[in-house]
Amino acid sequence: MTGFPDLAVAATLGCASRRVDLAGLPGEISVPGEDARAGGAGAGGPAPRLLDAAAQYATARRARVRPAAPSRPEAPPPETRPAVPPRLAGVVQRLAGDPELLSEAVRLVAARGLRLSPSTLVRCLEGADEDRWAVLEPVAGQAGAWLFAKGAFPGQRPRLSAQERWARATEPEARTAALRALRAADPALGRELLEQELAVVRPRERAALLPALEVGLGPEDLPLLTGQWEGRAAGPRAAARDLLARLPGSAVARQHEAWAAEWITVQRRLARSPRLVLGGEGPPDAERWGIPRDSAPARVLQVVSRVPPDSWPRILGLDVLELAALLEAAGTDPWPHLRTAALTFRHRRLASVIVHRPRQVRRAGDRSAVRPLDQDLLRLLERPEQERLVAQALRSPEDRWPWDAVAALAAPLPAAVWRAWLERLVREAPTGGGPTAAHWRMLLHRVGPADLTAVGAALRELTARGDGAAWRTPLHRAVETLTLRSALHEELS
Amino acid sequence: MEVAPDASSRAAGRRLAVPGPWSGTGTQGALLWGECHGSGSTPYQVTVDVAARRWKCSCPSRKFPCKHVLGLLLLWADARLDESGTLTDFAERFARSGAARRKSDDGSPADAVPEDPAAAQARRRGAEQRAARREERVSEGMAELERWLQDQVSSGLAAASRDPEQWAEQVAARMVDAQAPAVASALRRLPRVVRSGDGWNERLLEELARLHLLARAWARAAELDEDLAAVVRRRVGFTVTTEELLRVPPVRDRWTVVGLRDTEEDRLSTRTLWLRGRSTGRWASVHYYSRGGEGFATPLRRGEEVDADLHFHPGRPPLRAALGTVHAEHGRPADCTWPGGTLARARAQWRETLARDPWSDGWPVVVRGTVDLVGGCFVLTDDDGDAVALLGRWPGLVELLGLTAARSLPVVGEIGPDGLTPTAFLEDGTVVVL
Repeated sequence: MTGFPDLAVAATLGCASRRVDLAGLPGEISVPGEDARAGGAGAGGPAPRLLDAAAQYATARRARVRPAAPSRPEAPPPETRPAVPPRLAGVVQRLAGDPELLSEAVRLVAARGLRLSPSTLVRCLEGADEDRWAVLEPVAGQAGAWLFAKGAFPGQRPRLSAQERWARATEPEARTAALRALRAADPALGRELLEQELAVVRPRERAALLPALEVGLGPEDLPLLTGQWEGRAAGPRAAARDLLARLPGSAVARQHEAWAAEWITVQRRLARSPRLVLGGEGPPDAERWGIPRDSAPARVLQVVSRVPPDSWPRILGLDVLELAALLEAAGTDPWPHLRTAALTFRHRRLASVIVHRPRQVRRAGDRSAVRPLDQDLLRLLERPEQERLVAQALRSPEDRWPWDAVAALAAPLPAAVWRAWLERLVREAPTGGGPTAAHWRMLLHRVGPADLTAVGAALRELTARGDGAAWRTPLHRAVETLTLRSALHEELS
Repeated sequence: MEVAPDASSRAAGRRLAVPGPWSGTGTQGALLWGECHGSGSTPYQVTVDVAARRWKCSCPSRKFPCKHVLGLLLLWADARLDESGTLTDFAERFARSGAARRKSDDGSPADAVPEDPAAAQARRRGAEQRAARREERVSEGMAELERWLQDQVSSGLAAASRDPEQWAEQVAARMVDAQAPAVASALRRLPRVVRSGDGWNERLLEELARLHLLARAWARAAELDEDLAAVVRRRVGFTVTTEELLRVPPVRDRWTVVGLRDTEEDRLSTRTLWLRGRSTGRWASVHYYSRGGEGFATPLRRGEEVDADLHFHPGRPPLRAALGTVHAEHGRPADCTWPGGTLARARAQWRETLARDPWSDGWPVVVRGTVDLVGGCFVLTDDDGDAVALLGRWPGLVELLGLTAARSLPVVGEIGPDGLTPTAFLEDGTVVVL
């Protein structure tokens, strides 16, 4: 019997050259003879008859509706939490594109004992990257978890533990981040897994991974670090040395203190302020230590960056700030190295002094510019001091780029800071300056729940003023974001 | 904000939802009005009939509704509209035109000016001549199509795989010239079939055979009954104007919107809404069109019911319709009692449809069953254990799976050769549209 596939083969190859047995068609398919064809157009031959037969077959095939294998799923467990009301579900959907705001929304939903309906989950996950399920999982409810288990969200993956992320990471950045997270959760396990890894990877990778040990660094890490320090590869040696310098009691730390005592002499003079004499011989293996060989001041400053600031009274009978003044008087610039020491040893007082130092830059034709606030040092300060400095930078016209400073402040921003931010925006944006989209996000993520309404009102007022066309779009997006956050907090906090 | 045509209009509307730019605002019943000051010297006059979902603005925007209408609506919704303004001339004219439109039931504009008889006769003669010329062009085009189809199967469809995009483009362009646009569209969908993988040649032959059937039916249109002839004309690309349709006796019922689908082709956006009549049990599909990102102006909203007249296009059976008079809007019904049949019944309905219109692509049905996801495929299994593949966009199918959660529920959708495309399901008397 001539079936549809036979017609298709003939048509594909060309029925002018490939014969098709139209007489073998089943009885239900009727095709007029060549000489009895009526109403058709075009040339005779098998082509019109093949098309006639194909049309009847096609209609019959299309009438069939392709069957599927039956399947009825097990029902998901009953929900234990009510769903978020539709209006709020819409708010959550609109925040889904911003990971920080979505996380905030999820926290609020979870804290109220609510869940997202499958409809909302689907909309939040549409087009999302693969980690979004992990963010939404706590509020997915039984139906959401059931859908995920059935593979309804292809490409999404569940929240991984730090160890799982470490095991799966392949890119250097991802591996370092996973190791740091592992160290934060379990320093001993992190060290153990790192040790296994160090045994098999190349020196460059060892050098990249070792700094992760700064998270939760402790005396237990000495043996591993000492092993790397005593190895032959320069990169891992340098990374290990920098970490050993932070461990009091380590041979490396003790050696630096010994050099400090040897290379710096304090000459105390009657009726005059003391002065420093910098000298001494560098070690024969200066390169291994990362110490400049030829210049005594350079050697001294390198040591200054590696000695805990609180050790100087014991070593030289000087406070670190006194040491700084004397080093300056000796013709050196100790501040970059003291900055390193402040960050390494998280020395708040030293950080504060450095942050408050004059920030003027000498630029031809521009004597008024200042360097931006040092965010890393800012993060070491007490909160009130941080807020004061950031607000001051925002209000100071000489501070040309104050927007980044907000990044150093954790949420919630105090009113003094966000008011200064908005005032600066009003002054600067109409002339083409102003914050970038990233800075806007920083602000919007850090406004506390109590200030959402006030900041939203202030921004709406700026919108109504209608000036500064260049910043209108981010301004309107900001108003929208704050309105959404406001709605969430009003209903769920 | 559901009426906003797009996201940028929503954002623009929100920006105007502040009292500052507005003056002379007021309300009277469902009527809102106001003047919105923009960058020009003359403010825009904005009026909205909230109940009838009508609006008008004097701005030159091509979006509908425009941002001024949206801003006024938002102000009113937020209860921030100053309602002290007196009824303005423009608002009064708008209100009168709305009342006139509701009274008019003969399909002609309420303020139409009677036409001069001689001019009317000349206009009619011209239309007849144009129609006759079009019939000739279409006949020539369909004859050429038939010759092309025969040439393809004669020389071999394998040639299509060499350059699928260009293979049928010339004949498609010829169909456009022949004023057979639906045939041109069908030809321009063929490259997708050629690229569809294993078995593409059988699927291609099916599509070419359908076009052959249409060409033959066109050639013998005089012998066909009226309904089938109307189907053939529609499949070729003849359209019925809304004015003509509104003269067809309407079917009045309480129509529930049970499906919504937006598609885009050649920069034309189409919104298809499926409706089911509460008393008549009839199905209908209503189409709206827009270009260039403008929204769809329709009072029909998913899951809601309207007491309205539908004017059906000729068809076998009639499905496509135009919305006529809306008598009342009833919001979301809570007492829909469509129990849903079996897949066997749905297949029978599909066969009946195809027997009457061989070019049909689907027919709406209600099937009671359970949804599952197996091996990456969604299926609906009815209470008799029969199953069919579920088709459509992934988010809608996941939503259906999640919301039905292994329960046997009536599922509304369009059945076709490849499976069922769900649009909604019923739960506790309510229609949940995906």
